[in-house]
Amino acid sequence: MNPDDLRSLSQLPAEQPSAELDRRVRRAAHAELSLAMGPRWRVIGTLAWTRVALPAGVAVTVVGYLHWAFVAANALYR
Amino acid sequence: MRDPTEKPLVDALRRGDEAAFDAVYARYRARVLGFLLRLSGRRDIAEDLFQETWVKLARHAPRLQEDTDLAAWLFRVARNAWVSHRRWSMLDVSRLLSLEEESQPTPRTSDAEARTDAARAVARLERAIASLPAGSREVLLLVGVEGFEQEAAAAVLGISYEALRQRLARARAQLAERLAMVETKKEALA
Repeated sequence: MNPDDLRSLSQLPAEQPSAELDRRVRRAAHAELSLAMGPRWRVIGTLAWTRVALPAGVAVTVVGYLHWAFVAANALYR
Repeated sequence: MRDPTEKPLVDALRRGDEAAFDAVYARYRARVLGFLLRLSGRRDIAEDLFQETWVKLARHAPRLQEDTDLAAWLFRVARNAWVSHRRWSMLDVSRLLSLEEESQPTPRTSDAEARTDAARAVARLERAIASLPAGSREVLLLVGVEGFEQEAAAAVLGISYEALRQRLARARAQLAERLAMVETKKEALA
């Protein structure tokens, strides 16, 4: 094999994905495709929910719990 | 150069046609997965990036340009996903060890597979490519393995044509050097 010849590299075999990976990728992509093709308000609503509202809700819950735990622990030692 | 049979596929994808998506997936899945496997050197990472690439195609399908070159688009997204993965890995201390592994990817062909001369030659080439620095590896994979024109490969990598030519020349020299080292080792063992 001549290392200077880039064509020798094209002999390298392609890699077929496993059936399980195939299924997983196509399922995720089809779901994304139908979401992307849906009404604009649904796309914006989904993005707002998954990327803003849900993370913000989790963050508020965690901070609220930690605040409560701190106040409760302080009260115990008074 | 763009495949002329792709235009109807791109049009159908822009309309959200699942059959068109499946056709594009069937056409490019093996090439994209092979590219990511050789780039990352790890099957688990390559499979995650592979899924990310196809999900991005589905998400951006309605916004594709009519003249989109799907191969270039997919390889650009796959390569950017890998670059992004490497960047995040550097911030994650717990993954520094796996990054170390990635920087020297394991060759994809096992010795058991390298029975015939042709298979042995392929295995040697896989090992030599896996031992190259990431920048050289990606340019050789795009131009040599995937057969992209140099202008298209430059666009995929987001660099100028001149920069690509320089990187390609360097990568070819490095590959020749690594292959010569493999030959020398083989002769020493014989």
